Amino acid sequence: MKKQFTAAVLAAMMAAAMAGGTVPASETDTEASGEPVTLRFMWWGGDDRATATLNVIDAYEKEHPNVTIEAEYGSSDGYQEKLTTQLASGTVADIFQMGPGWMSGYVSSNADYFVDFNDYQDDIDLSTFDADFLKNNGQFDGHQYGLPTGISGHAMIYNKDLADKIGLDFSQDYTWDDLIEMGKKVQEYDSSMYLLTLSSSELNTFIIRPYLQQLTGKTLLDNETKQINPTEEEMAQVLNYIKSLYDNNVVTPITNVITYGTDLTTDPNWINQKYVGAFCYSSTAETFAAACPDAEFGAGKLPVMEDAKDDGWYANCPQFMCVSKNSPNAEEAVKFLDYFYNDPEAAGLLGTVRSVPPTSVGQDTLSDNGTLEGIAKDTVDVLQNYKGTNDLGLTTEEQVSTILEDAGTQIAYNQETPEKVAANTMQLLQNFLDSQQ
Amino acid sequence: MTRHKRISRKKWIGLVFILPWLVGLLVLQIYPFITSLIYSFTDYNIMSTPKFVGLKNYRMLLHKDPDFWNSLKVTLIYTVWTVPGKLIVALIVALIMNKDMKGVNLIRTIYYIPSLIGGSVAIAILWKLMFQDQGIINSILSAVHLPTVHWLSSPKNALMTIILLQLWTFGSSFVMFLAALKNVPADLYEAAELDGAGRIAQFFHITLPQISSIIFFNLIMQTITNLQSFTSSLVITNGGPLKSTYVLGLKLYQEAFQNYRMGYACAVSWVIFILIFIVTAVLFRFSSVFVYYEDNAK
Repeated sequence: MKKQFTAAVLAAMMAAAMAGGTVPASETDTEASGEPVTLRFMWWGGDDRATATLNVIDAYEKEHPNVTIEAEYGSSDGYQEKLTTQLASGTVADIFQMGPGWMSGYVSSNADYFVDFNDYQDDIDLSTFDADFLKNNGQFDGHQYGLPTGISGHAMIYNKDLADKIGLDFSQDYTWDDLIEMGKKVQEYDSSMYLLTLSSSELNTFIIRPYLQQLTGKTLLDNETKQINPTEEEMAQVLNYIKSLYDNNVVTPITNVITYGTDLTTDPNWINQKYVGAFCYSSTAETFAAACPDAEFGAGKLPVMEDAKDDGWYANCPQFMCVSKNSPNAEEAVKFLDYFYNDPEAAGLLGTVRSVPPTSVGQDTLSDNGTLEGIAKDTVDVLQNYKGTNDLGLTTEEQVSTILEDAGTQIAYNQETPEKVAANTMQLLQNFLDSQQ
Repeated sequence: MTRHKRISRKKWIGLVFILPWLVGLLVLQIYPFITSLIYSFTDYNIMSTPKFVGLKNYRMLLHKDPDFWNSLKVTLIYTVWTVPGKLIVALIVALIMNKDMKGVNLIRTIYYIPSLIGGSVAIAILWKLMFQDQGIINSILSAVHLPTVHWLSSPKNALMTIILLQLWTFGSSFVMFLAALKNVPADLYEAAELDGAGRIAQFFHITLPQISSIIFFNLIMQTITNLQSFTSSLVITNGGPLKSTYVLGLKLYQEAFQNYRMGYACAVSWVIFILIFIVTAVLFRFSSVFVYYEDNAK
């Protein structure tokens, strides 16, 4: 009998241990400022970004001994999945980094996830941001739910030596058709070389979207009317253009790059200078240049068609910073972000780990200490000449990106005629829009 | 009365002992099983409340989603090649390893290792590095003056390259075949030898019927596992190029965790479940034709 009892107790203990392995985390402090406060801050990024951000946190904690900031950081892999689950379950960090492309989806699902920074004007100075830039980056229906972390966007970098030898000039305006002529020149110079390396996802982000926006003057999908702006003929036109890029060997064959996914810097052909240039982002330009240390790179202009109705290219930001509306310490979190954006010490520590700073304080600090130089800054300077319409929203939803990437890839593999792919793509886009009603 | 009481307490204690497993079954298997069915009739993106839409997800899937039919095709091709291929490789290796040789235990262990790590992400990455255009396989081919192959970057070859990885991880079937071969009574072979049966006749008339139930078991298990395949397609090719390796498991994942269409993803998972159910039922229906059971020989 006694044995049985002991066994039962043991089994119950085992079960309890397995079922409830974790002790509930202690509630976050809710005391007013001056009292100890703990904030959680979550971001993604590489080592440089992590080190710089941790240094800023240390500096802030020294100035505000009552504040403890717990850093939660890692790679971008799976970040969005984690963020979505945390937002849905109310366990998101007080301060978190956000992808601009994801934001509109979250806001339309539930805008109550985010504080409106306009409501915290006493705690953070937003006048250091360019007002238009702030409006285009992180503002939704007049609510400032996100703050842009930097100025960045589409970029084109080129190998200066090779371009000089072949006689290519990327510092002048050029059209999409000029790009084909330049590609032919490269092939004449050395048939094992290509003008550009282009990943399958870049077929969408660097060709289809900007080309159609220049052609129609509107974003690909209309966020208001939920309609497709380009016609099927216009879709076929851009796909025909992609076909001519491959037919004339302007870009490297898709089989050369498909297995590298979006990380074109691991392609040995890039490292061995078989490509004159690449499309990338201001935030990745340095990575591209670093992967090919023997060459010197310049920031080139981006292709714009004659009589374009829209520039198609625009400066935006690599990430937003958001504060959770659920946070019991939202005010303290906003105060930390004020330091993060507007303190010269923080700006100096952060440098360009989130691209060129968006605030006047950040930019002044970095130009004073001479760190605002290099390929990343050059691409931003070029980019600021373009005033295209920001197409974030339906056009940048994951499903739409996949449909457009697939369309470009089918042409790259020469599987179907551009007209057939265009018809199919329009149908898939319409199906997507129907499912959004 | 006392007797009844004792029995019920005994039962209760038994229940406590299996509680850890029972909790796992209820919380991690039964609960998601039922809720996934419910969610498959809703529009649900995790963040907003699920909206009941009836059979819309299933209608979309079957009538308006060309990806689904492509995925189904890819999954079936993958399974049809992988399962028999793996069983044949496993059986051949088991027959060789069934002999008494020096160091046979070590060799058996070595053959089993790929299966321990085969499903893992690390091996998938290794495979990707080996078979990409500038990988070691193509380097070897060009070193011996053979033409190189677009193993992973051509839509025609990518699926076969992934199937090859699966054939390499035959270990679990191999171990079971080996055990089954050991159980075939030696006197059957002796009798056959006296009757003048050769090695090949012995294999087809003694070995195969004797281990047919294990072949059937492996066939069912492998079919079920391979219809749910996911890891290698995600890691090696991410479903590409041109969706040539876009198996149903990957579609399910992308709908759920990239497009956040949880309801739709649940519908995909139920279609996979029904598919597995039908395939398994058909295999069982025809099992009597080729499986030999000793106690009620058919």
